[in-house]
Amino acid sequence: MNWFLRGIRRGILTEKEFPQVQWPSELHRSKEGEVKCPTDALKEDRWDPNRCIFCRACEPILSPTGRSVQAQVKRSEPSFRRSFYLYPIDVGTCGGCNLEFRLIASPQYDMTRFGIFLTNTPRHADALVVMGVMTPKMEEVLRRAYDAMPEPKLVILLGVCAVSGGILGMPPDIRGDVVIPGCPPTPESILRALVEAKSGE
Amino acid sequence: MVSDMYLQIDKFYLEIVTLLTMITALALSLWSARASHVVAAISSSLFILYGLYSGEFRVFYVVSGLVWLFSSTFSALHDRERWYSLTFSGTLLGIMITLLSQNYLEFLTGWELMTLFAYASIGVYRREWRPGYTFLAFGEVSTVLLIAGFILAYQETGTFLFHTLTDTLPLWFTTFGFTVKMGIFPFLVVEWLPIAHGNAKPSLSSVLSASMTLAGVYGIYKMMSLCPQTQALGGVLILIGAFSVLFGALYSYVSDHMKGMLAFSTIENNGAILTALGSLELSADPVLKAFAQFSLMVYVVAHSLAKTGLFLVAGYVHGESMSTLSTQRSFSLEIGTTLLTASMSGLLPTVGGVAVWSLLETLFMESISVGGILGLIPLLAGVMVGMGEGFATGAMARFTSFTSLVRPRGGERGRLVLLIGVLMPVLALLSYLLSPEMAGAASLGMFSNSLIPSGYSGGSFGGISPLYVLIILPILSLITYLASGRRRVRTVDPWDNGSGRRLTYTSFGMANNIRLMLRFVLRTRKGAVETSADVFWRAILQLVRGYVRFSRAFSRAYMNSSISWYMIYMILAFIVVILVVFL
Amino acid sequence: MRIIGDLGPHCLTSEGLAEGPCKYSRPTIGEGGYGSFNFLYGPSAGGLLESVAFDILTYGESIEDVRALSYKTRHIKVGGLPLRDVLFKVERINVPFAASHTIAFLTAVENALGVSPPEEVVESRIAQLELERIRNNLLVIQRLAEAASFLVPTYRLLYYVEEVNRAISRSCGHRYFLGANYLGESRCQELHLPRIDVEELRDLLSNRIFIDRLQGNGVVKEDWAIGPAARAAGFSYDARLEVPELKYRDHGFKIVTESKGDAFSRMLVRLEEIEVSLKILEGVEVKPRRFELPSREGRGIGRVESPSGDLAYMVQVEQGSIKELHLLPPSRINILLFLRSMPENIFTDFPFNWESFGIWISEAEVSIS
Repeated sequence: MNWFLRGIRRGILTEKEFPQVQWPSELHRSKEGEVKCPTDALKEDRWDPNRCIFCRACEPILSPTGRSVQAQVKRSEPSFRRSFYLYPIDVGTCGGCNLEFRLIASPQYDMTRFGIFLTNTPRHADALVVMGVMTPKMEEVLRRAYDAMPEPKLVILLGVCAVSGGILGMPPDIRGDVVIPGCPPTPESILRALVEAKSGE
Repeated sequence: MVSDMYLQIDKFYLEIVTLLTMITALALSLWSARASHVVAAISSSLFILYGLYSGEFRVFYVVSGLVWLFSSTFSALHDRERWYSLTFSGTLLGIMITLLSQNYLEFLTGWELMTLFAYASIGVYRREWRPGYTFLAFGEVSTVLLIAGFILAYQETGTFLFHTLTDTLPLWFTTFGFTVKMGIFPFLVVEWLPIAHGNAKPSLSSVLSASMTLAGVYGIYKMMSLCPQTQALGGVLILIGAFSVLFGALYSYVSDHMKGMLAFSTIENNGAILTALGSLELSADPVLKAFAQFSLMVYVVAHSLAKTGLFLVAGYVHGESMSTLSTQRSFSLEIGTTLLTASMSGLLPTVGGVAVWSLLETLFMESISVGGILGLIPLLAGVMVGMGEGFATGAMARFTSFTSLVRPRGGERGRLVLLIGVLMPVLALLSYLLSPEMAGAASLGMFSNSLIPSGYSGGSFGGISPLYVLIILPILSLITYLASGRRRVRTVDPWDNGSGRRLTYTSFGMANNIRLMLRFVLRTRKGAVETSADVFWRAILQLVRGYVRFSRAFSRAYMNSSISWYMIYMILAFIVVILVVFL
Repeated sequence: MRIIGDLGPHCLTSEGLAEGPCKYSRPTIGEGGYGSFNFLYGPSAGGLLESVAFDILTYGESIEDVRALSYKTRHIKVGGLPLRDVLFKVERINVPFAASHTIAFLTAVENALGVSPPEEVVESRIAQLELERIRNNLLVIQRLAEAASFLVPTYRLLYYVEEVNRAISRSCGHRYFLGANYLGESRCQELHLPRIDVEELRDLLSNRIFIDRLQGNGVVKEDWAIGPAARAAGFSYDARLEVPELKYRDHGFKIVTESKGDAFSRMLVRLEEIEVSLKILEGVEVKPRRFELPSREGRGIGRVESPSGDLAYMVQVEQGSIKELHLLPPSRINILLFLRSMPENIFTDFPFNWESFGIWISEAEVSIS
């Protein structure tokens, strides 16, 4: 019974406002100078979050703002407003995106209060969360998982490796409806993107 | 009166014609197998007709006739060997004589005839002599017990005709004689060895399983009606029946041999029928007795027909091991097998559901109405029967999946199986005719006499309505289907974790968790072909081997070719003879 | 002397490099009898964190033999690239172990260049390694509890993992130490300690049913085991004791061992190590620091104790770029141990045993050229 009383004493741990994380977060130019970016994320003074791997090589010319990296939601599906089941598939990650994705279930973030759940099979999934660079054997697996999902479905590209290949390879050949950059994206930015994708707040 | 007399004469003529037709079938088999089977089918139909006119044994006759009709039709369509048709019709003839017998001698004649012809069919083809030999040996054991019982009956009444008796000893002897033949614990091997490993064809297997054991049940039922009630025998029958249900179902579930699964299922159902017979014997309450009789008859109907159908399914399938079967799936086979296994699992609205329900109700009511220690027996039996039915459902689900539901689509075969399958829910409706009473429960939506109630002298207990289920199920399904709106359908591959392999799980694997969990009871060994064994047969073999060793040692010690010892033996024998003469 | 693993063409032992491939027996798949068949688990299944397929020889529910099939092999080119770019790639071979990979790589480079890093850098590295160890040990125990659907501990542990990640982010900028270590530089500003109540964890996890699923599951007794798996089997193997450059001895490091070698012992070892790590962190001070790296040539080896065992890099540096790079990831050896320990168990033991080793496929299946 101890755990029960402890839990009651501790109170609610779910947060309404999340603390700031410096890396990864939105970057802005704070000084003058030339920077050689290993992934070409800096094009004519514009910082492209879809290519940035947050290696901090451009510090202190670019510095972090602490605001979570914005995702691009190209298509959202209103029928998922109350219940949104996700199926994660790892086509070639470093393990970071897998872990950050699972952390959105932790008490501080609590994905279930937004109606977001995980499922063990693509047959029951509303959205396919693709993580990692493309590796040869996983191409077929990805295609089969996509085919196995019923309509309507969304494809979520999680992490800069899935979006643009990062520094380690080529991105998977699939059109993403939700694009979440970051290396790895923080649970906050993942959660914000998912909530927008299912068009709720 | 006159019409009664005409009925009697008609019956008599019908009986003669039926017997003669079967003898013709036997004779025809020397010339053409197909003709023999067709004539056997005609004879079976006549037997059904005869059965409809008979009195209290009507159900036995009609059911036997149906089993023979379906089996011979199947053989007429598929089997061509003349030797087989000879032994097949001979077996049928033997059972027919047994069922039609008017005195003990005729009964024994039919019994022996049946055993010998069946042995000829099982034992002669394959190189393995053990299955047929075991069958014959235990058949003779049962005959010996029957003879003992019949002699005692003769001693009391002075005639061979079936008269009421006052002594219960004949009942004990004959009952055990019949149960040995039915493959009841501990003689499970009598049933599974011939069917699983002998060369019995599907139609003979169904006759062995359904009809021959039905003759045994008929025998016990007849003797019970002649002898006074013995509660002790009732209790014993209930217990050994329930034990057979549990072990038969367990072995059926862990078996991977298709015919072996069905054979063990037969043992399980025989156990249930024996339990019903025991319940009939145990209770003195007339209302309860009537209900117990109902449960016995319905169970007999359910098991015989469903088992026949399933053995015929086995005839359409190539291969014996469940994990490596191949068959051509057809719509008839699919529906038929599903309905048949649903009946064997005890599901409504098939007749098997009514049977299992009524058996368990009987046991519940008995444990209440038969007080004291004796009332514990039906309770214990009910527990074992319940557990056994669980395993049976699992085994039947596995059987259907791996024979009918997961193979590539093929031709349109198996209409006979479909016919028998459709009979299952139909017979559930006909069970209303067998029920001692009917009632209605308008408050639950079951109107005017659509409820089969279970009751005993102390009050009403429960009820079941197959008609209700039969109507509600399709209606609800239809409503759900229509309410689901317009459907968009896209055909996809099964989800295989993305690997691209056809993922399969074998029938062997599905039962392996039970094999592992009950390792001690089932004596599971890894990697061998026979991975779990009938422990009772092992025990019997141990006893037999022990006895053989003892007898050899004893005979060597006794007959030791020493003159002096032989002199002593002769003197001892001389003394014993003189003593006996004096006394 | 103990064998650690294959590092390139050599065999790394506790006393240095030795000849050729390491001598220990590799697993072979046996044949099954009647009724056996192959069951495939993976590559894409809900219960697995990463994509890997297991080919299980089974009779149904029993596990006779297991083979691991690789699906997400990434090819990483490092030959001829400048050190800084190689560092970025090394960081992202396995991000949950990023600190271990980075520090092992940098140590190898510093060895190759014949440089000793200053004290502040060494202290900062110890802090990073221990913070990472705390987070990964909590994660392993959380995966075990999740496999048992043991929900209160699952969520408490997930809470703690997130707290440690936030502490790391406040200390070093990135939640996974990416960009915190550079050639000749350590960027962690200060040390923020996560608040973890280990007594509470011990209390939560003492549940008879949960422990029952771990005890006797996946017994490992091989003497070439590494990391928590080896320590759970009673071997006192720890790179923190064996590599003097890491200077752990000065911070009161104590090795933790158990004796049974099963999944439960591995969990206990990890739980104890969280406490040991917290104690070490109390005596550590973190400050940012830069230092000079000469431009020389050479070959060097760097070995650290990652949360799952010894992790080693061997580099050959030439004119500020990498000529040759070899990696010994702990997961490679842990996978071998896992496959050896799985037979004789049943299906339901599988996820517990797998999670108890703390294996990351991303570092085991990477091919570097």
